[in-house]
Amino acid sequence: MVAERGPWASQLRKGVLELAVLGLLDAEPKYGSQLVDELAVQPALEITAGTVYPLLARLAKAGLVTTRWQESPTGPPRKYYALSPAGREQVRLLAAEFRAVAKAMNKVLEGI
Amino acid sequence: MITSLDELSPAARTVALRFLDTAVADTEAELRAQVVEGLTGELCERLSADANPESVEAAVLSLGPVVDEMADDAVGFLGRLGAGVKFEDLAGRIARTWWNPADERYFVPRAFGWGWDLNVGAVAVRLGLIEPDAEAVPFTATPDAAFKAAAAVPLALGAAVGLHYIVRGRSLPARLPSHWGLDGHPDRWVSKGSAAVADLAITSLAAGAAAWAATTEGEGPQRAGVLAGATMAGGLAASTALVRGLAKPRGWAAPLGVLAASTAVAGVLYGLARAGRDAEIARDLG
Repeated sequence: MVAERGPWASQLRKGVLELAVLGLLDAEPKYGSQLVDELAVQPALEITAGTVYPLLARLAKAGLVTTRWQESPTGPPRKYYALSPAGREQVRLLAAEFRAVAKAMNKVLEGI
Repeated sequence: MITSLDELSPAARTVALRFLDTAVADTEAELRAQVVEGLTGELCERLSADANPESVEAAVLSLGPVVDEMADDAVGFLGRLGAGVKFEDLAGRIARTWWNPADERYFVPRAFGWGWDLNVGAVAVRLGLIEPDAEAVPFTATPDAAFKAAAAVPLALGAAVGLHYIVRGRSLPARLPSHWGLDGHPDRWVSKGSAAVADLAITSLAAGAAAWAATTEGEGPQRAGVLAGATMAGGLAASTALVRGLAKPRGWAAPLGVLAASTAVAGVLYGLARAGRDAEIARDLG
């Protein structure tokens, strides 16, 4: 549960958006609505379809993810997103940065 | 001439810095420092230490002709920047605004001018007609044949308006409506000849633009934007020709014409996007 949802919280979420999407793709390739659903179960992140799709387009343009249509067992084909080698490198880099910041912040906030 | 913007009065300096900020707002990050440096040099050359905000603005406006001396890759950007006015290619902007399925908003700031445009892409996604991410950049995978097919719409509208005036020209009244009030009834009139010339000129221009988009080897979004714009212009002019020719004025006729033209545009955009999606699928699934 997030108590305060002011502009600061929104900035914070925006900052981790890319890492969240890259992180989900690190395990296996996923299609768009699957990513949207998996992010929707984290209410604190507040990531909706309207933010995920433009972000995916940017990541594809930047060469961090690759796309490929695949047949679906039900319904029309789906477009899958997978990390490119550059994307794999990026997710590790961002995760390390994030952990370092989180660790330092936890230390600062200890006892509050 | 000064050697640094620091020599300016605080007010003049603010104007200069604000210009530099807006000038590089859309520039690639790696190019930004280079552009700022170039522009700062040009500004310093044109300014004296006692320059007031107005003379800084005048110097900014005079920057246009210096672009040839700048680094090659900055020239394109600075050229568009012109006298400090940002300006993108209109066709690409029309395509991105009217068809942006990744954006959930139905109404988005207009491609040009003030107000709101309908994002047909969001509507198509909502109706389940296409995926929000069918193409990362819409119309980049759309095949040439689809653009040629879409060009048939404005071309047919041009031919229809031509035929309309050839066949019905003599039987039309001498004066035709040229403007309709909010209630949909005509409140201004012009001669038949002027009406025919106006409708034919617009549909011919639209048909010409469509023919260009059908045959150019330019980028997909630009071709789609030209075709969408041409369909809108041709559709509105064709509707106008029909509504002008109604024996009895009908309040619903003019709004219906606008709706018909918009529907044609939506159809063209959807057809082009769908063709791009299918081309991507064919590429990946073989």
